[in-house]
Amino acid sequence: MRPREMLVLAWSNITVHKFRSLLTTLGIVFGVATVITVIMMSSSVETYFISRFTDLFAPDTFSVAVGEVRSGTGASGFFIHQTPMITERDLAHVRSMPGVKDVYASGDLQPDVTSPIVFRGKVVSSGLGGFRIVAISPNAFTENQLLHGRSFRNGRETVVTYDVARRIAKELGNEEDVAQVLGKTVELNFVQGGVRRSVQVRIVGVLKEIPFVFQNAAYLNLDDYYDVRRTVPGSGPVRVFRVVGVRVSSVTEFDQVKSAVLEYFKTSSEAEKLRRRDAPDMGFITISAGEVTNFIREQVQLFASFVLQIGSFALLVGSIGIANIMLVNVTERTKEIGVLRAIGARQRDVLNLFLTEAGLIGAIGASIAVPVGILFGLLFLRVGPFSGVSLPVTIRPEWVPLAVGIGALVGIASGVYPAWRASRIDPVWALKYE
Amino acid sequence: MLELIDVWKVYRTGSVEYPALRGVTLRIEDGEFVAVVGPSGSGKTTLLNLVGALDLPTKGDIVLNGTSYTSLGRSGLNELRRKELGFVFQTFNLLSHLTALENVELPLIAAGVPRSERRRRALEMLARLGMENKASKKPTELSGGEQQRVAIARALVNNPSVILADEPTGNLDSANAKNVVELLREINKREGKTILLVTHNLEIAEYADRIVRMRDGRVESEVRRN
Repeated sequence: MRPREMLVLAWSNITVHKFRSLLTTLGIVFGVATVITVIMMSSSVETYFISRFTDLFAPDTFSVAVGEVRSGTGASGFFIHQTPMITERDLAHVRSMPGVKDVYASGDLQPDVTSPIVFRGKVVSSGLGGFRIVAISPNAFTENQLLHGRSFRNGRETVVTYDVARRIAKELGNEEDVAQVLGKTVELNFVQGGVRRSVQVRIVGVLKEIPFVFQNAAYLNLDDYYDVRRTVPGSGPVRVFRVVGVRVSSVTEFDQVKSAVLEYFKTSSEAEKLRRRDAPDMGFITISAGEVTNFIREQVQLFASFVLQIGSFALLVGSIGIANIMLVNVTERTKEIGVLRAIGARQRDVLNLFLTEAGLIGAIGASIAVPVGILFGLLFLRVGPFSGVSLPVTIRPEWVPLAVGIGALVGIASGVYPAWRASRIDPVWALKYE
Repeated sequence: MLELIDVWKVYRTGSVEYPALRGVTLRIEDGEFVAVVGPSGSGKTTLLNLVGALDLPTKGDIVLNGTSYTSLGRSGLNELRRKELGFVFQTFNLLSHLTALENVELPLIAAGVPRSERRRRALEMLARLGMENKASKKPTELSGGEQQRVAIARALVNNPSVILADEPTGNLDSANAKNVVELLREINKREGKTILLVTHNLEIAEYADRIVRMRDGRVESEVRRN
């Protein structure tokens, strides 16, 4: 039989039991739609995050910290376990290294849990929501990272995150106009050396929005507020910082300078001495625009691959459904198979006819799945956890042939056994079958 | 010419053997109309299936126009069914989801005939059997007699030399049964098709040139009429 006739016959068989055929496609619809939704979601989220983070992580900057690096997940542990071990001497050394333009440091202050930030007598953000007060060198912030204003110049000034600025702006009557917070005074409360401290500082800068991370933070001048110390073996107690940021003179030397700095930390730094003594399980980790990009990509893909596994499982269930219905079809149409053989159809024709039907069911399922998947993707991006963020929507025309192809392949694979059984039916027996 | 030479068909169920045909020898000339009669279990349908190349004899051979069935492989038997043989069944066996026209087209589809020619030939065949105005009807919209006409059109559309009819009137009332057998007779006379008709209805058998009576897998008697 010619392929076209095969298709026409298969289609006419499918349409005989419209409802049954539709139900058979459901597994494929669910599987393929899940895959499409996940692809849409992950590519949109990935594109958005990478663009935002690369905007904020200057290409000429990297940072180094002592932290726990979990094996197998790359540097994905670096947000979790970092400990202050980088000393003033280390900073001075790095500053003097060739290719290094500038160095800054940071460390955390322990915010007061109940009222870390107060504006006009009202707690603007609760410490339970993960509010951070970070002591950082004033040169840490670049113009690119600041939405409004500038970095602080002394201990009486602060820089706040976009989210914090919004809450203060809300208190001022217009949440959207975050620029109005510049010049306003806030009270920051934290614990230092076991003593609760309360400082009145003027907001001089607002950081750009970084979705989902560092949302609640105020930044203070490092030298005025930070005094975490450790005793370095062979010398007295010295100030230790959690992170050192390094700006290179030329982006072309970026990797070279980064390796040299890392090499210094791993071999002859005071931080290394502290690490060996106090945190032997931790290591030196670096963060740069490239690493952040890779990290985001890694995380998004990890999530995507997990959901894709669910999608594949649905496809598997769908294919079992098709196989089941095809087996029922073969039994129901035994007599028809006998007639086809009697009029001269070959075993191969019968096999191909049932395979075509299974493939068509798969392809139809996938065709339904494409708009369904896109719809769910849009729903997720518009009303899901990302509803407040305008994510770029990725829809590619090649998804249609790709999905239909996958659906057809899954269908054909599911139809192999039933079709083989159909082709092996003895025509004499089939013609007698009632 | 169609020749059955000492044809045996033995079915096996486990260790039990059941001979459905026991050495049938029969010679049917081109253009002859032969009716095979006999009680149930006499081997009529087995004989028809073997002549229809749906099955092969356990022993003996069938030769159609000089071609021995046992010398043909599976594809050769398929080709034989496509080109030389046309089947008409008791229960019509039309595919319910196809129209009358599409049912008639089926053998041509199996033979790979291009669409336009297929359509033309199928319509022509339906017209010859007076069914042209029912071409777009589904089998369920047709009477038993009309369905059998469509089935006959399907059997004829490939222009086979032999028509094999298994109780073609078994599901029809007497008037329609008469119409169908007269149609077969007419096809036999007008177009010279060889017809091998299996029936247990002696009135229907009377239309044949020769009546072969079977019993217990053997030819019991042959009566030539006219």
